Amino acid sequence: MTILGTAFGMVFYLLQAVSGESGYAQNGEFEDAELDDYSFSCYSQLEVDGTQHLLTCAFDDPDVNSTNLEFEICGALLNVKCLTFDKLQEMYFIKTKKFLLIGDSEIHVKLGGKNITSKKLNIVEIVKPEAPFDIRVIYRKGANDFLVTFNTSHSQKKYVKELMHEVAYRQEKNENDWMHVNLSSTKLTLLQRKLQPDAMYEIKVRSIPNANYFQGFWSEWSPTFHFRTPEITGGKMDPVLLTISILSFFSVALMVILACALWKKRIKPIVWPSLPDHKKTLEQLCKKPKKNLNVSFNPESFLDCQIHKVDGIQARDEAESFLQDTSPSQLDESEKRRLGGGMQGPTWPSEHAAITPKAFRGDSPFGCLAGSISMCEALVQPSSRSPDCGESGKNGPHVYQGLLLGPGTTNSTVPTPSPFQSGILTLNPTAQGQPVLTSLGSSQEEAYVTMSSFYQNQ
Amino acid sequence: MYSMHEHRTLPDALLFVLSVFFRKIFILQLVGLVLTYNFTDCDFEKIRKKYQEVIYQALEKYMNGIKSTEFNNPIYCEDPPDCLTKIERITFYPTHGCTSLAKEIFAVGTNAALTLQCPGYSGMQINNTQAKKKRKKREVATNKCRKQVAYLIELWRRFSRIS
Repeated sequence: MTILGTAFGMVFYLLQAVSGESGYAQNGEFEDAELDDYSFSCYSQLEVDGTQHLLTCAFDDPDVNSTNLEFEICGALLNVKCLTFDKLQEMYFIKTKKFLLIGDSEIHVKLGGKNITSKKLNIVEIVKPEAPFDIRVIYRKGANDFLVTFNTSHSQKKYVKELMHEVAYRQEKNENDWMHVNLSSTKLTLLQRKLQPDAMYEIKVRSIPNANYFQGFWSEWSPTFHFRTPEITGGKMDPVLLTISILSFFSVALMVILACALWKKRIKPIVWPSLPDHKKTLEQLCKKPKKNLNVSFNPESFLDCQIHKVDGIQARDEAESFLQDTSPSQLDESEKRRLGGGMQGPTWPSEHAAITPKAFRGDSPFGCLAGSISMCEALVQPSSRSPDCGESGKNGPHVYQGLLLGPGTTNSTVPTPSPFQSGILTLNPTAQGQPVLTSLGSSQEEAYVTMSSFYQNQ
Repeated sequence: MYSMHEHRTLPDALLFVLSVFFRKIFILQLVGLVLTYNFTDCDFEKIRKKYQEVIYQALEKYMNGIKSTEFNNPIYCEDPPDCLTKIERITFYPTHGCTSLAKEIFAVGTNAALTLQCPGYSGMQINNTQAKKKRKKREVATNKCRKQVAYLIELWRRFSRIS
């Protein structure tokens, strides 16, 4: 009997349990998934009002009749076992400091004191941060970028200090074409080259817990900020740089023009000096401060000068004494002619004169080659008499511009004249007792050599 | 012969008393070993996170701006289990001059953290009724209690460094 009773009891119990799980309601109708109608979601906001936290719950189905429904939270509370939610329209919320923030809590949905549905959750895992605010965009011309800054209230809180932010921006005309950037700080830089020029953009930001200890959902979007990108200047240069470029261009152009204009006259002679013209060089060498000096190689210009025929080099003393005794006299016309012809021809008269090179050296910076034609520019002193040869009354050595003639040395080789040569030129007096400088005996080639040497000495 | 019998009775009695006494002490020590929880199997990483995010804020709020270094805190723990043992003892066991730490926020959080992350830890049963009565009397945090909390802060810092 005992065993039989026990068996009947167990069967009865099983029947009751099975009938209850199948959802068989008292009204006879099948109401499967009755709990799903009262499914709900919650989120928490910590330190939303000073030190008080906020927990908000709502049914997923907005059509649920929540007239007599209540929400209750139990567990993970400070000094209390359970707390009851307040109701505002279709939302249930509770604002309290008594959340322990460690461990799980249970939220019960009650109807008339009876528990309809429950859900276990952890308050630190359903945190919804507050929306960021004060978003600003500043254009930095020097860096060609946009600095985006925003603020969040969580930087001043004790809990949920570390957040991840998401910045979204788009061009206003491009709908649903949002660009997203994730960052952990409250500053972002957007490069100008990555944005369209002269376009209007809008930008917004939201936050989520950093998932280190506190986890949860995205906050609401911040208020949208609008900004316009500047136009592209299209290669427009900086005014200062432009001015410098123009000035440099014109300076270079001016230098090129001047170089072309002055090339032949000024620049080329310096860069590529031409070989000196001997005639002109000698004329320059024979230039003297006196303006009335008439330098010429024309024999006719020496008509007024005493021309002594140079025969050879004798002792200095003899020449000096001779020169002291000699007096200036005019040259005979025939002698002049001969001299002039002699300058052109190779023959020399036999008459010759001696002139001490010392005297020449005293008056001139170089010595004269014996028996050859030498052009002496420095022989002429201001007191010399080349244009005024006929007027000279001086004693002493005659200083001649122009030719110094040597007898019969046209075919002989002569050494290069040296300023320190002690040799003298001999002068043979003519029949009239006047020394005559005979015509040139050197060849044109020897004269050319002499002149080049003379120029070298100079 | 009578005195010899008396002399033998006295040492025997003494030995008997001492043996009973030492036996009880031994038994009590065994019981203590059994009842003291071993924190070796706890999840120290999760306990450390709960300390850094929640318990630390409550400890700082209790000290109310007074730095723990102002007290001479010659306290030290060797390893994480030793740190948790000492933290539990100071937090939940009253001492002379400070008997109400167990109901503070940081104590409740410590109890919750140890209960969740230490398998087999039953936790301390904090009597809320008694807590309400004591709140009526409004025991103010004494200097002795702040000294105890300063010890706790040092132990928790040591624990977070070595865990």
